[in-house]
Amino acid sequence: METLQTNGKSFPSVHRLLGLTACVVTVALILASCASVPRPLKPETTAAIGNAINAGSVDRLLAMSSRTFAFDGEVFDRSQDISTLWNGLVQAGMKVNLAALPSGAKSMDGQSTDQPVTSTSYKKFSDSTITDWFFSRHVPPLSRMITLETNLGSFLLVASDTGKMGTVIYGLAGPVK
Amino acid sequence: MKRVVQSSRLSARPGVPTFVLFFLLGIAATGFSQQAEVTYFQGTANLKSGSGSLTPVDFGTTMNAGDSIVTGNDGVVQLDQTGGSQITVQANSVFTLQKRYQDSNQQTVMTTVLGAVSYRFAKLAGSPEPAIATMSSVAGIRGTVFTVYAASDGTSRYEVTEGMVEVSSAGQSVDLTQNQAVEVAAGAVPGKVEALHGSLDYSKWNSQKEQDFSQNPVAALDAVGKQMDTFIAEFDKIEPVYVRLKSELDTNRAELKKLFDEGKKDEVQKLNSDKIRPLEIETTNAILTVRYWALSALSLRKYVMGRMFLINTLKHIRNLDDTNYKAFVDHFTKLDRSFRAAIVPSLVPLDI
Repeated sequence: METLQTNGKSFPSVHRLLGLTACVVTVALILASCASVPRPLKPETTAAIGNAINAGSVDRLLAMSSRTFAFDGEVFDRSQDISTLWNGLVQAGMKVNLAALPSGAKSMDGQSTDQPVTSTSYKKFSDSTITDWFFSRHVPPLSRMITLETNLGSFLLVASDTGKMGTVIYGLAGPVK
Repeated sequence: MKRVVQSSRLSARPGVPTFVLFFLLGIAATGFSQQAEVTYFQGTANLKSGSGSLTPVDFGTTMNAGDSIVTGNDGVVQLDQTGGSQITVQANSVFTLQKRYQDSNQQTVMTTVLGAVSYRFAKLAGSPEPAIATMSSVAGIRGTVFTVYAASDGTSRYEVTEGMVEVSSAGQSVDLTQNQAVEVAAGAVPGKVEALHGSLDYSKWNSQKEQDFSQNPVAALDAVGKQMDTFIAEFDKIEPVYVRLKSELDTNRAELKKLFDEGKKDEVQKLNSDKIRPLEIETTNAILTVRYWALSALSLRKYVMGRMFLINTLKHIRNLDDTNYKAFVDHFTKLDRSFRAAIVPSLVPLDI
């Protein structure tokens, strides 16, 4: 068998090639899977959402909101309705408890307030066919459902921060009992 | 992620969604006044296509039957039709173009779901003339310039600048001539015809309607409920007709296949021309009208009832146990239940 001499040791070249190939494949797999592995929202994403609400920054919230947006069992695609929602919550004095925002570390420990969106997540908004269709059509895979603890009660917020658009909020439900 | 979507009444039948889609694409591509082209726009404006996509409008964007234009706070869209007719969709509006089968003809229906839409018809736009509608009324045009407003509580208002418009609602009609206007509350007959003094400030008018709604949300919802009942009643009339025709068509197509397999070419041709083609036309017209009423009900539910829910929920967000709010939610839930039972089974996910 043909061998390669390195520092006085000999390695079979086939083994070397196999090793290299394995490394390349492993790296490629890791890179490819980064975009498809479910993971919590980044702490800076949740902080940005919480800060925008607390600052009453409706423009920032609108910029982060999906064009098609769910509030409880309602689906809105008029910017005026989404604007009315955020303005209404800000005017009602909604303040997010930033200390209780889910963070990546917290959501790994089983006490998560940051959950992946699954095929049944829509039921937490409204157990209806329309809401099911909204989640199927407008909420991309890898989106997360987080709990916002606020002075108005707990709200569920669906968002993602993995796509090209950066942070996108798809819907809000609450206050939940 | 795999999601299981509940089956709908239409999609439960093999082949129907494809049939509907091909059919809708087919009608969209043909005929005068069934489509319009964007010749000017500014601000935020999206086209919600019949196939479910929501994309920003651009110069040259074609609006086909089944599509909607949704404008934002700063959005204005001007659409031109063959023959010189012009439609201007103002800010914060939802405008839909639909087809339905009525009085042995396919008719274009242009609906101001919410907001303000102005029309300038250079001449009667084809035969039959298009119907101009809101969630609560329908108008026939006689070659004219006019604006239609639709408020968040389902009220509509017609203002005629030139020509004549016949406004119908709840079984009654009024004629408007130059410089006249009329308001129609949801589920009610047309109001008193009034003289037109300048153009309406839509934002102010709509704010007033929303304030009125806030004063008595249950009554406002009740009025919208009457309108929903009308849509459901019309839907319930045509839906069984469609089901019967479709079943008849399927039976005849099966027979056709059998004759074809047996090599009976003459009988195949006869069955095709005598039965199948007429049935295809009837079935197409029926599904067109089924979709028209189903989508009208969806628009009412989504844009009018949805906004009512939003406004009233935000008003009581600090006290959702409020008795008045609870009464509203009870009534809302009841109406929503009717909508879900009657209409949702005939919708498809692309409608959302």
